[in-house]
Amino acid sequence: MAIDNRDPLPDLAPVGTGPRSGEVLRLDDLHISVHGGAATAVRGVSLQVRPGEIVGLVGESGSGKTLTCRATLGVLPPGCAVESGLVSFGGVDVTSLSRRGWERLHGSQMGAVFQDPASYLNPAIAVGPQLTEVVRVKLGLGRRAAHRRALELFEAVGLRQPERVFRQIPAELSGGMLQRVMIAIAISCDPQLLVADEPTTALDVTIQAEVLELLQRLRDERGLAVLLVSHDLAVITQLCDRIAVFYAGEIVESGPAEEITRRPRHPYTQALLRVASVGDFRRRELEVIAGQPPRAGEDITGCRFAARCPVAVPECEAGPVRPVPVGERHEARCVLAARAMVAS
Amino acid sequence: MTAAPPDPMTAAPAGAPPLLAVESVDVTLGRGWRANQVLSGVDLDVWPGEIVGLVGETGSGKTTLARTVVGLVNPKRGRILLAGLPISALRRGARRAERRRGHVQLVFQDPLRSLDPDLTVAEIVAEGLRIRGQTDGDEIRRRVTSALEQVSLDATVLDRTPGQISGGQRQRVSIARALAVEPRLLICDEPVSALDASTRNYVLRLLDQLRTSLGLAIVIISHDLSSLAGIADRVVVLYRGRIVEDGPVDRVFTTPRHPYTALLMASAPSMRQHSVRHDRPFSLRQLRRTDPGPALQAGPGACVFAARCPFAADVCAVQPPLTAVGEGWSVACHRHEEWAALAQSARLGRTDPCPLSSSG
Repeated sequence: MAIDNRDPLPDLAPVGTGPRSGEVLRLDDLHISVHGGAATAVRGVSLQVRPGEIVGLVGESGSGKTLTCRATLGVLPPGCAVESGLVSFGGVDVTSLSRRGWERLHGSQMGAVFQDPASYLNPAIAVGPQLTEVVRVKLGLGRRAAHRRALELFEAVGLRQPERVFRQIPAELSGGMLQRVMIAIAISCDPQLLVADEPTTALDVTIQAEVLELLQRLRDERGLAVLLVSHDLAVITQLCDRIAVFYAGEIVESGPAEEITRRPRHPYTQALLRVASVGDFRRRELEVIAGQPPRAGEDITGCRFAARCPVAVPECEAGPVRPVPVGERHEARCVLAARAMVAS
Repeated sequence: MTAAPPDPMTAAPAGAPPLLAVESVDVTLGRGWRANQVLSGVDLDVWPGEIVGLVGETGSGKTTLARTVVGLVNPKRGRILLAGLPISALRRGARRAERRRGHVQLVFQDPLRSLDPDLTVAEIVAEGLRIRGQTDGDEIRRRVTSALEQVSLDATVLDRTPGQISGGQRQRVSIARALAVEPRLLICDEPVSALDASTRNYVLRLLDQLRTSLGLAIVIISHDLSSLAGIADRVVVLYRGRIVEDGPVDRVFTTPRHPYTALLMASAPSMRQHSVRHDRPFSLRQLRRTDPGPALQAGPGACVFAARCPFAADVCAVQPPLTAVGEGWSVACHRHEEWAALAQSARLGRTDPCPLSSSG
């Protein structure tokens, strides 16, 4: 669904025709401070998202996955700031981007979808004009072309009767339909990256399945790169090519989805897999991970999971633990995993 | 009160009356042209020591059923009995007195919103006791401490407010608040959907222990089927205000007899998609309607699921009654004996498993 009659914004490579190889997004040793700099909630996060790749961030609440996401979008909440590190989007460092600079990226190159679609739409205006506004401003489309584009997009995200939906206000649409509208808006300018923060958490399970299928289809058909955040490991593994597991502000393990689920190397990933709702329906022991995660910003020299880790050794708490490669594009931040690699 | 054995197959009959009996309840919300029938002919029995999982999508009437059981909504038809007493027929003073007794307690999804942020944990847990007329301070303190012990919280949380404790602790406080008045039935509305996996399992395990140690009957409203599989004895599936399937959890989750139950199971995200999904009896493709047009012009009396059902046939123009298909297992589907085979035959490639016109 390439649009030809649009006017590319100055200074930016025309989207869709630009190179879709290499990386869309690269985070390098990202640190995010919270409470006005009093604590560091995200410490040393590095990850890459390639075109057409769905990368999942998974972890408990407060592990820093949403902050990482928001830093990527340049919309950190008040009191939070990127302390150090690099957020590179399409080869350009965006950490020090001006407000105007972000405005050029938002919508046209990066799209975003959040948990509660209703709170991101104007309740008093029909959803159609809310989409056309975006394409008229960002792509400079005329009124008619924008209307056509909106109907195409509504159809592309699986909304039946797009003409009718166009004229409906958010209250007249179900949660699943609203999330589709949000996705339509997010992809309206054919962005390179879609950031989806818990996009299906508020939806019914049958609707969730449909929205996940939609994201997969958009990736397959448009080569869209997706950064997906969820606390539900089952959602993440079903959809993602690569997974980054967050614990207490750090990525403790990252790698191909299949590798991570079949052969997790970090004890926390292993624990997470045991407690996850695995999506099967047999009666099973409900396991828990003993202990509590450290508070955001707590200073811990060694491994941040060591206090809860069933296999921790003294070395774990001795000094900082670096991520080590344990396979093809697969890293684990664990002393024991590193040892096992040396031994083999 | 003695706790019945948790196995529903043996817990159910044996002459003992159920603790909770919901008898063909209809509920209508709103009046005049706004009137909306939310529940239709709902029958539900819950025995002491039993955990019943209530599943269904948004708007299926799960929460309305819970509110009807505690008396916040009056049924238009049918009645609700608690230990033989028709509580839905009580009015005014009698109803208030029954509510104060606190035999039925609710636990809500989001404790941050359902607990008063300005009260301390001690005050929150004690509130129900005070409402019940307990004035003896020592007795209240004793009961509060013991309720918190039952949910494995120690005295250190007593003086904190809900904002100062973790999500899992908050949900345990709301369970302790419910337990303090010694209820016989606990209705938990999405008790774990706001929690992380590990905390969720912890709270579910706690509920499982409570039904054994206190002989509590527990109804868990949830949309997460696979966490119900961990603890529930029986699962009740609601669709648009009607029970479409009700049966032992291990049987229902291995061979669902209603297409909607099967659809719910197939929709749950799975970690096994990289390998063979032998844990699911059916795939999504076998259970979804492929033709977008209106099904069977569903008249007012048609099966509630007909419009979404790929197996709908002429018979489905009439709502099927809930019929027994096994010990303690019933399903409301005209084609409950045929659809599974039709779905199976569609396994290889065919996406449209059953022409609409065929009437079985």
